[in-house]
Amino acid sequence: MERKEIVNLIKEKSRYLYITRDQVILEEQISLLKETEKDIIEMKEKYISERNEEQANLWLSLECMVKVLINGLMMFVLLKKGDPDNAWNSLIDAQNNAHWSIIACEFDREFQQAYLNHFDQLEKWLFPPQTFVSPSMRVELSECSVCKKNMLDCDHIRGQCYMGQICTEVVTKIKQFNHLAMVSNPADKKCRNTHVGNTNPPKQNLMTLKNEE
Amino acid sequence: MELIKTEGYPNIRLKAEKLGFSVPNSVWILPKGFEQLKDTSAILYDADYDTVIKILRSNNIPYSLLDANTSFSKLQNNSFEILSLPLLVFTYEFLKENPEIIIQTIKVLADLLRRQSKPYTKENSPNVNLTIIKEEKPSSFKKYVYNGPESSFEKFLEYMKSVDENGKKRDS
Repeated sequence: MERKEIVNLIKEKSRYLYITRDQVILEEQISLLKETEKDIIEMKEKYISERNEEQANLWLSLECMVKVLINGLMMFVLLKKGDPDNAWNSLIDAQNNAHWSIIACEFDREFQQAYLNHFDQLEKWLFPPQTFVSPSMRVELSECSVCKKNMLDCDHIRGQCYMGQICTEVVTKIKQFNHLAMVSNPADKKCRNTHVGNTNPPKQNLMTLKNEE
Repeated sequence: MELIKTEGYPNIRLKAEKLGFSVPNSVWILPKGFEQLKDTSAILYDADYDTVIKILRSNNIPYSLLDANTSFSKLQNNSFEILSLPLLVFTYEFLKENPEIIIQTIKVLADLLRRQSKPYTKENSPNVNLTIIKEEKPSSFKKYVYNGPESSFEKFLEYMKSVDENGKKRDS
């Protein structure tokens, strides 16, 4: 499997990223892309075992791009099924993967950026504006996802790519919850107000405006 | 929007000594709001102080926290800036021995910010907030704040270079 082959496949599959496409066809495409994803992960792992960081990062980037497509297609399927809350989660997963793809390796910046822009636009056109929330906490201990050491003790930088994986911070001890803020630029767009009201009278779903028990 | 602001700053040595800390001969990494700190139990570092430590360490820039033997908590806000940076203090003595250290530090931070902002375009460039405290003369402190998009952060570097140049001209 070659990089060019994957890029062409991603380009070809982008024609399914429209809400008018048939649900069954979208689901078939998701299954096919999941097979491609497995092959890409295999390639990435081969390069990781060979300690070839450049190639490992490139194949992580390609893996993220395939995940962009899978999540994008899934978003349309879920919208068709009348599940906009989970469709939103798929949209955010698509956006995040487009972001990580660029972080991992800029193999074709214009092409990767186009996907990021595409899903940013879909957010604006397909979904109502959201009220995001952001938790604030006093963190006492956290570890690096790459080497599992205390975050202060290693040299890995959060958000950067190392040997086929993005470094993240895993919080292991929260000393105190500080506050919950409403924000316009959250770190995690899945943290949002989903409902208003309580159970009596029924709460209202802010995506559908339907009252739910 | 004004990207760069400068103003006087209280004598941070007095504050540190009052709280039982001594001023190090290195880049001093302090929690934001240090000047308002009432007691040491409230010390809370900004979320990315550990990233700043790693960057300084990998570039052989000497640094110190408030106390080398204490492990501090940090405030994790899952929003706001791309990096939540701590307060960086440069003392007079340290600057005398290392006249290029402020520029060197800002350069490595600019490089980090550039890498972290790769997926963003100039139009949606994430926000950066960095405060530097410089002891210009013994016990006379000045605050330099950059608050704006990452895409314009180079302006802060240029501004601090001009501050340095003007200082050198005055001294000579």
